[in-house]
Amino acid sequence: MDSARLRQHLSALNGHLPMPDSSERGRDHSIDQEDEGELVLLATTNTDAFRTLYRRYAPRVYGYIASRVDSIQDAEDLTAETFVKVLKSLRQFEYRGDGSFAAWIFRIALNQIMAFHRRSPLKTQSLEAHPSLPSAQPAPEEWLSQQERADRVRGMLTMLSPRRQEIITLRFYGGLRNQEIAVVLGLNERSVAAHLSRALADLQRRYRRDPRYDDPDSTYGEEG
Amino acid sequence: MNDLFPAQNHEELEALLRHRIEAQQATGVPLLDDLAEAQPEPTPEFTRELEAHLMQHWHEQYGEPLKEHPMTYAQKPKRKFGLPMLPDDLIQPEPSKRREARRSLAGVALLILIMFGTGVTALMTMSWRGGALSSLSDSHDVQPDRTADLYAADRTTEATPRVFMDLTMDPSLIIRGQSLTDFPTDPDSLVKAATDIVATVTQEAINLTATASRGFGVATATPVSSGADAVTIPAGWMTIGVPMYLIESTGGRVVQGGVVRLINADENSTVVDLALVVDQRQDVSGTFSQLYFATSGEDASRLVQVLTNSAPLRIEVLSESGLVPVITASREITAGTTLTADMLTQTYYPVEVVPPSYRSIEEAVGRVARYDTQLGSPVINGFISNAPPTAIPTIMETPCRASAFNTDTLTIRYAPRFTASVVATVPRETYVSVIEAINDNGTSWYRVTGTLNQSDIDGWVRVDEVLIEYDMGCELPLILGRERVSTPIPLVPTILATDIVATITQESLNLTATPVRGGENLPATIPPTFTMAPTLIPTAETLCRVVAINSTGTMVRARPTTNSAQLGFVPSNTAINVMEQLRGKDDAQVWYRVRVLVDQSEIFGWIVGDNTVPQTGEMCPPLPSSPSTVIVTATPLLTEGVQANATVDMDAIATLILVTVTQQALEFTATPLPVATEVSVITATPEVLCRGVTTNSDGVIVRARPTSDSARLALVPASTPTQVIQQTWGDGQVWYLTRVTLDEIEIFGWILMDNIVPENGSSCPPLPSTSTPTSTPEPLCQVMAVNAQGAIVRERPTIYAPQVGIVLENTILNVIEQRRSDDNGGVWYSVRMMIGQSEINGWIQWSDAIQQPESSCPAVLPIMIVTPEALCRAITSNPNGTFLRAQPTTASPQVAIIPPEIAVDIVEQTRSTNDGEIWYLIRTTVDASEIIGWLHADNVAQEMGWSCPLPPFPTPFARSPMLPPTPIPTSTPQ
Repeated sequence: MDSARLRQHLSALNGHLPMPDSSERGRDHSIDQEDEGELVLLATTNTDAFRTLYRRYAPRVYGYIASRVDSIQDAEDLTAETFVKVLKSLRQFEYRGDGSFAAWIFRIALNQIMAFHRRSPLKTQSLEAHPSLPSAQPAPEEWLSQQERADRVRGMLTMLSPRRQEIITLRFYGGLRNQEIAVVLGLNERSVAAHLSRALADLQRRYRRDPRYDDPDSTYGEEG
Repeated sequence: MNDLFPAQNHEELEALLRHRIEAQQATGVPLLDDLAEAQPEPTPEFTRELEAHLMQHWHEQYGEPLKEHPMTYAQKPKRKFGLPMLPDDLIQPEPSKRREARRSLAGVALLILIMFGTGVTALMTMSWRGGALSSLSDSHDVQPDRTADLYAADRTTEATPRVFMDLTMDPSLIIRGQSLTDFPTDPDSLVKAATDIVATVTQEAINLTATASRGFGVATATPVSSGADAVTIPAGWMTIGVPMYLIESTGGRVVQGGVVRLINADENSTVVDLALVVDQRQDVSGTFSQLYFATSGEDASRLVQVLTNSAPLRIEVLSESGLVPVITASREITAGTTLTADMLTQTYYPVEVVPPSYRSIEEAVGRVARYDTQLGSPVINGFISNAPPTAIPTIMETPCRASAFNTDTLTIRYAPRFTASVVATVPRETYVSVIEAINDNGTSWYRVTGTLNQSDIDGWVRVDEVLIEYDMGCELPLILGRERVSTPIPLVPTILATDIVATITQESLNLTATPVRGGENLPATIPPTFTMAPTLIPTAETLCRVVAINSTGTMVRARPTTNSAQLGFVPSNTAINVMEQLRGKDDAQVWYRVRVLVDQSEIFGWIVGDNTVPQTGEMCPPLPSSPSTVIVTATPLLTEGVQANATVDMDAIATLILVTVTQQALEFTATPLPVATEVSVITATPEVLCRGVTTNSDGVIVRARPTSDSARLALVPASTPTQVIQQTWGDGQVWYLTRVTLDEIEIFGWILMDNIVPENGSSCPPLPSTSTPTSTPEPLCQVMAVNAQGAIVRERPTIYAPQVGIVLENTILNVIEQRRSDDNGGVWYSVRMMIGQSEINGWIQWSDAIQQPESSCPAVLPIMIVTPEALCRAITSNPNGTFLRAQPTTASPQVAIIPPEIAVDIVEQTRSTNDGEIWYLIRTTVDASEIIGWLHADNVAQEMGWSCPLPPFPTPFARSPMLPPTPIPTSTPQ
């Protein structure tokens, strides 16, 4: 698909953009980011502000942590530890604009993960151990198919380098943007973009070699 | 991105991902959609339980929520000249509880200090007013939680005029664990960090202090705005975070106290916000009459005086976290003074800022001061010596290790002058060795050496820019302030001498140095040390101008060959003057002799023309094509020792080619001239009869003629491939005219047949045995030689034929054949005889022999007319002579040269298979010898009286048979 076709494709998709819904899976970036600074300031004085922040970030933090550890129990423990740490350190945090809070909270999560791996022997992360729950309760057959695809792509993720796994999971499961990932990992934003691009290309090659892969060209042909 | 991704670049990929991740919309890319779907999600139960748990924690931690939020900088009123003075009611004695908390904090900070080693910085706040100042001692503090009230109060209190400025460091302001690198450069974050700063400004003064913030404090200073002393802030200083030094006005000495960062200022503003970050290694105490801020410690031109009053300014740093005894000067101490107890006193410094001085007076007494020390200043242990001045050498025997002090990089200069060029810039963590010290015009300098990026460094640094490691046991020389003429350090170290290439030509002395061992900080211009003066100054005329285009740099070499020495690199886009061009002998490339200026050094040398493009309107003249394409093939001359010019179409070729035939071999000497056009390839390609290889292991002699006594042209090794062009009899043996390539030289000559073995699939046609009869015919009769001088035996029955032998008188000869001569009608006898072991066949004249009575010869036959059937008769017309060739082609060997105006019988005509030209097979007699061969039709003209009805040409071109050089004519009976 060339650029013009992509723009057309995106334009068609944008026509179906859902309205912002903060409740949806808790990782909606379309929430007015300008209020996040105020929320952070209020979070130490107002429980509602903190609750809002928690609900906004909990699914994303959990998704990221769960993709980096090998059991649901560990993921839940680390998520809880992360938010307790966030709560305790909230007054020390200085809001520096859009994305700074997300980067901060995921940096804490990353530190928790690293501390966890230092404490316990590093195991091969079995992402298959984390079944994702269907968000819209599809039919059982569809859910199984969806689960199978998710398992497949998780398995492929483990074949990437640790750095690229980190970036992919932060991007897809943490919902962070490149700029925020760069802050979390201490990288240059361009490096993050390059890593992400190459990781996706690598994944795509593996994806295509998978015999279960269906040629998507036909799908694009219909979109065109 | 492969074909499965529609995104072609990061932006498009970003758009796709945003769509997938943020908009929760399937992108249609299976991988992206599956990745998004694969996100692990927490169970609702876990989410709820964790939320409840966190809410409980929240109440435990923030159970008493603040009634007001910390005020952000944006919420504060803009500071203007004349903002309210700090109300007295806000300046209260510090509560003991708060002091205790600060002591606790100081203890933690000390622990962090130990952990981080060096990073402690202190924050100083400054306040002053023009000629007046109010003081905020540590006994007064601003209630941090009431900062908003400060701005809301908007009350002005007239300050009491004071004559000194007191900057007091509250212990709580000491920044723990901070280092310069931690200082935020982002303006917004910096402002955020300064939320607790309180500033009150009046018409006369600015009083300010800072409460404990998150690491940084901001001072707001208002310079005096009277007359010429008014501060003008250059626009370039508007950048937030510009590091500046606090500089004492007298002597330009950098106050060992800090880096000032300009935080907020407008051009020509009367209000500037400054933060002074103090490194714990520095001594920030002192009393100064005037202070300046500058962007660097040396750049005096950019100094801005912010304190203009003549009143002294006092800067102090205090600490409650610990006091350390420090020896200070109780009076002014001049350099070279031996310290006594009455010169010293003991004071206490905060542990964070303790200077590296002696702890007790007893330690310092008896030592010698190296520098002037002001009253009250600490006696730095590195500034005093263990030995008297006379014992201190100028050149240090034991180099001291040193590193940059108070600067991120250490600037090493070529000479001990500010204006000297910078030799290297050494990072702070890199150590150098101090080997010499001088005082030049009142400024002390160290000569340092070291290694940076594998390059040796040798240069000068200012004394106050380095931090000596005194613990290394080194001994610094005493600098007594005497003037000394410094000797410039040779810029080309000895170790780099091998990299210097000197090319002395007749025209110029080219000396170019290429520092190989790193040396990125070496001076660009390396003055050569001439050992001899050039006799000629290069004044080469510029042929053309080009521009280097090789992105990796264009190599300049000493000679126009890639095997020559490298003189340097010319960066891309460098303009180059071309003085000469030629084609390289080794690579046939066009080389330019150039003169180019690189880094202020002029380089002479050669570069490859392909690495350049001509400048506009500066095209270099074209060079001739490579002379190496000349191929010369010479035909061996049949007469040895003759020098001949190769036959070449030389009209348009300015190439002189000499071909010399010597006894041993053909020698070629080609001298290409500078201006030459296309060179023709001279080749002789005679038809090859067969191919073979030489067999004689001792080598095969190639001779000029098919006889064993002819000149030797070459000795060809065994197994050398040969092409047989022609074959003939000679000395009773078969000889091959061959073409052999020996050492890339093509040799034509004769080789005995026995020395050549035909190659597989190639066989030479058998040579007719015209000279050697295969059987002995029955004699016709016998005759006896009667000539007293001996009867001459000739090849043919004519007196013009060559002699083949002489028969002694009375020799009986067997007559094989008899005939009459066509030149005089006499009878000739064909005889065969043995001379020695050789059999001779030939003809003798009837007058030289008499018939034997018992074997009389038959009656003499009528005279046979040897008149070969000729198509017509013609005469040669070329005034220079005409080549008679063995074959109807110019590639054929020459049989003879026929003079002009010679009658020839044309017996055959044909077209050359090579060039399609018309050739005649002619027969004629030259010097009494009949010869036959091929002439080019252009070289003959029809003789008068002869009609020459030449038949039409056969088609296709018929090949004529191979002719021997001297064919024996056939007789046709009348």
